[in-house]
Amino acid sequence: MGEATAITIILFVIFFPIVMTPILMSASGRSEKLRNILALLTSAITFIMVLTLYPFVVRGDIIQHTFFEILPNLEISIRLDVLSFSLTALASFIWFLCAIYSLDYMAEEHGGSRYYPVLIFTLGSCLGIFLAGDFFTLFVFFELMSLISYILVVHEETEEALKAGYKYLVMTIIGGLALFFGIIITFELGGTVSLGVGTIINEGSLLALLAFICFLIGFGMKAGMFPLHVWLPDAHPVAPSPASALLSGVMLKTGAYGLFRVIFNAFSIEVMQTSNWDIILGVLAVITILLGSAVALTQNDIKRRLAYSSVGQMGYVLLGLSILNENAITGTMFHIFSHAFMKSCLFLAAGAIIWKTGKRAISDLGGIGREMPFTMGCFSIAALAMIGIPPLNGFLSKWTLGLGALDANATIYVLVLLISSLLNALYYLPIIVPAFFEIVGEDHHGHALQFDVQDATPKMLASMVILAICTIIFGLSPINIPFDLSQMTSDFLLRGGLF
Amino acid sequence: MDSVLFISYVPLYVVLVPIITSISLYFFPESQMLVRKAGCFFASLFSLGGVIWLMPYMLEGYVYCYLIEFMQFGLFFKVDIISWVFAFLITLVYFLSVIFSFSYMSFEHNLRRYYSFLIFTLGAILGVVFAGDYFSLFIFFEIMTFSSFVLVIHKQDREAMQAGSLYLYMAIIGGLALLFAILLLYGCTGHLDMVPALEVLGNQRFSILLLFMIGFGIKAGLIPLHIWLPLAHPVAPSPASALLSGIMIKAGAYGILRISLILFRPAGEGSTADWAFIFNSGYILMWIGIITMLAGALMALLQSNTKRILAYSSISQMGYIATGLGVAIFMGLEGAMGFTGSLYHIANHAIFKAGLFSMIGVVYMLTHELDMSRLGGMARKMPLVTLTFLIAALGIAGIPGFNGFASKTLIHDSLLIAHSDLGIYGIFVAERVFVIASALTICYFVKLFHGVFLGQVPEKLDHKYSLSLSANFVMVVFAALVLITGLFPNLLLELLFIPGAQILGFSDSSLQPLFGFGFFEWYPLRKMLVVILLALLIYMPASARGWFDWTPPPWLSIQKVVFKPLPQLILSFFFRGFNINDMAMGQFYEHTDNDNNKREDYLGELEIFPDSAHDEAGQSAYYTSGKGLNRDRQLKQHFRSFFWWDQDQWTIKNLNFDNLLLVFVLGVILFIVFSYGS
Repeated sequence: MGEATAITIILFVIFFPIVMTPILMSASGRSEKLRNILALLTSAITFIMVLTLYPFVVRGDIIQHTFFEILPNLEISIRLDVLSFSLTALASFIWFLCAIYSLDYMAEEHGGSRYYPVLIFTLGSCLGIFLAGDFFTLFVFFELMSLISYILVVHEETEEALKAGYKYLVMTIIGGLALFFGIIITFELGGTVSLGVGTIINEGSLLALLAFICFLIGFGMKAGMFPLHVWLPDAHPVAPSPASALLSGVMLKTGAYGLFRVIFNAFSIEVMQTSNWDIILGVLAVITILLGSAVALTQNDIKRRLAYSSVGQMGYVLLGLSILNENAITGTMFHIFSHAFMKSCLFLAAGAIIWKTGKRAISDLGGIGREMPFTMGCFSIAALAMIGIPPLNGFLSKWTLGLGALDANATIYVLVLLISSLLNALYYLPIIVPAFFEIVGEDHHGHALQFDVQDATPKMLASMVILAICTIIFGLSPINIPFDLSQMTSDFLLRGGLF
Repeated sequence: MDSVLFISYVPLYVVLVPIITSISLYFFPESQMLVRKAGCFFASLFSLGGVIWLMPYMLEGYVYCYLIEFMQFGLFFKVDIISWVFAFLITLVYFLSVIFSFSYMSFEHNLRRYYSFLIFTLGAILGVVFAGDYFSLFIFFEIMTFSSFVLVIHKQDREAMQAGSLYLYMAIIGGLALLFAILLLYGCTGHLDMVPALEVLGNQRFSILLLFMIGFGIKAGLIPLHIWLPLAHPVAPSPASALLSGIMIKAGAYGILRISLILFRPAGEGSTADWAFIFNSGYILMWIGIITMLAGALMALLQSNTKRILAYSSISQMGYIATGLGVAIFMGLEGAMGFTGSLYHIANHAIFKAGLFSMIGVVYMLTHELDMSRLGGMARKMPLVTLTFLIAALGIAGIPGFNGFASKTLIHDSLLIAHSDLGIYGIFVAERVFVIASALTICYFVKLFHGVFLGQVPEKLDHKYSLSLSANFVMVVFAALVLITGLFPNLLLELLFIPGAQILGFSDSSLQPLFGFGFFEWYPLRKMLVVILLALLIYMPASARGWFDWTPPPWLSIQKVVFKPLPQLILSFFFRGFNINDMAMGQFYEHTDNDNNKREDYLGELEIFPDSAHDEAGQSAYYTSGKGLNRDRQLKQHFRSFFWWDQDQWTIKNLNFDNLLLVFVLGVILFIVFSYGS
């Protein structure tokens, strides 16, 4: 396959879902079944097409292609390197699983004819972000995704959902404006916003700092960074569970991806470190980690606790980005993978519990593990991975991040990681331990308590089980594609982001 | 001694077969008990056989195998004679406990979970002792923690759940301390192999040592990190208690041994190692051991629950092991006697404590009673249990002819040698406390034996008992092991423990006295006689006046004074800020849009009534902080459920910790002993 094929494939994976959106809309008028199958097929085909790009990436090829220029030096372009590929593959995989899950979950919900097209459209725009070749294209897709996913957030149309959606919308617009401002400053300083030129801004002037802060607001808002995380714990829980899984598992990562691009393509490690901007990021990351974990402790709504946990976990990603050495970048990338698998699994399992039993409060979940053993089993595996229990993948990412922090002589970061692990244990174990071991019902001797095993439907279970297996395999197995990709990414980025 | 390296995958199979068996057994339906029992039996038999198969290699060198890229950093197994001793004990005790489970667990619920996790834990714990680097060790250590948690809470009643959650959270804290230590170590040395590296550690050696000690010390039950142990061990089913007390706490001792005698040693001849640091760490460990020994024994005396006596006794015996290790550390290359003594004691304790828990388990199985006040006279009802229990109790008490005698003599002698070599007064004091603790050990076993087996049979329990063959077999084997080791104490010493000391590089001059050590000469026997007399001296008046029923007031327990308020204080103060902050920010963002709408109104009002605007702002602030405080209250509530027991739960009988009091009692007794000694 040559470069032209690759460009075609890239265009295909971005625009195929977008093109399918109106088709899905018209199909939903005829038959729900047809619509569902089409949505599933779209996400499956997208995922498979993304995988065909793997040989290019492994060879170390970079594809940077400009289609046309809107203004001089302001272009619409695409780019494929190992960083974009990792996130694209991850996003399309999770999307595919969530589409499978949605088939049963959304069957009894209202508004399926709105939900599926929006889901698929968001996939296209999300992949567009990861495959964009310059900040302007990235910005366009970023705004597209943010605005469209509003529909997913408010899907339930309850008062709570509308309120959370409004907050999300306001924050998104603030973030988008900041981002746009940052792009303008970058363009002003460097004359281009393309990702293909290596470092755009070479010195840390005041204006450059302003650009950095604007980027930080724009992308950090999306990534749930303190103090811009406030929309996240409201918006994620109110969405339907597969959408929550996507919002937490994948869409948060677009913010992290943006920061990757800002640090390595708009600026460079030298600029970051000589101007001490990495310290800004580091401090915010530490606060984000501790805040997310501490506040998660007080939540009694299971999805809200998971959402706050996402805040904390995204802090790890930001922490790795602030340390900026090989192990830290590997750890950050691997944590992006790990967190996507773990958190999607957790949200899907929590969604299945709510769907089946209607219980949202953690205090009511005692004994649920007996009724829904597989769902709760997946939940437990993902939660243990979240705490960082070996041999699950969460441990591997924390270990690598810890090594990175030590390489940079930042013992305090290791301490923060460990405190956060402890807090994770404190808020996940009270969910899973009573779920399996608490005796509910009349008999307090543990004898002859019969539970009706009524687990989630096979389609819902399938996606959860696949994710749970991923958390085990990608921690334990010697052949670990996400880890290899993470290492390749850190190799690639630390050699200047361009070669 | 030249050591040969053998590459063999037997260690890997020994670890993996139980784990795979466990996972596959879980998928058998609950009703197929025969398959499940057979699977557990053969898996543990396989591990035992595999470990015995490794024996000839051990005498010549090491066995190792390496799984490249497994978990990205590679899992590495390396078995030397020290690991082998642990592995042999583990598989032996496990094999017996699995057999014991067949009869004991027949009246319990949830057998599928029990057997699966039982045999899974075997694989994990073997992984801990076979691990060749700290990364592998940590991984198996964490797996062991989580799988043994399920054994602890098997009963699932309120008491078991609380004990289990304390165990789990302490173990997680320990695991994180361990992880931190390993990361710091990796930062210093760049590898995680178990080799001497004291020079490389530089300024971080203190924090690394401390973190390792916290991590392993929690598992080993050393004071003051032992609070989970007297709660968790008694609530588990008896075969599991036997494993927890006999085997699992040894994983902590194993870790301490590996750290202090290998990692914190100078890396080669003529290096500029900090011997003062080594001396201090050993000296402190010795004192921790001494305090643990005495406090555990005192607390055991005050209990009335039989399994709780055994649990406190485990703490006390871990104190002996830590003392021996401490002496071995601070004596440097001359510490062979302390090391062999504590390794010997590890082996002995595994045998007799697992045996004692099984025998008490048999009593519980037949009578469903654990409290001594409701038991008695069992000697007439179960003569075989009585006999085997007596043998094991004589073993733990250190009576000549039973196994505990040999190891206690070695540890005691190492203290005497250290005192005569170094002339430090503190070691002399430690030796005296050792004698007192040994006497107290005899006292609480006399109390336990008297309470359970002698006296009147309560009417409720006055019927005939019959016992299955497998349970009899297990008890007889344990008693026989105690007797054989006790009657031929030099056999194991020369076969296993002296080679173990040799690979750690202890000097020949310190190894020399160990060959053909005269255990049955007058000198060690005389000291034991003193201990027995002292025990009589304590027991007679104390039992006559009912001192053993005395209960310490709650304000003396360190659980109440330190461990319950501390996490609550830290979490509450530390995270109150975060919670209020998050709440306030949420309010801020939410109010921006309301305020936007109302701004014009405000502006109008502001000109007319500045006061009312202030009032409004004040109310808003009040509301915000009120919400924050509410959330803070929820946080507190959350932690109360972990760390605060109901006050009613603090029954007077089973109150836990009272170190302050112990220190006081210690002082008084010491005064008496010194006046008789000098």
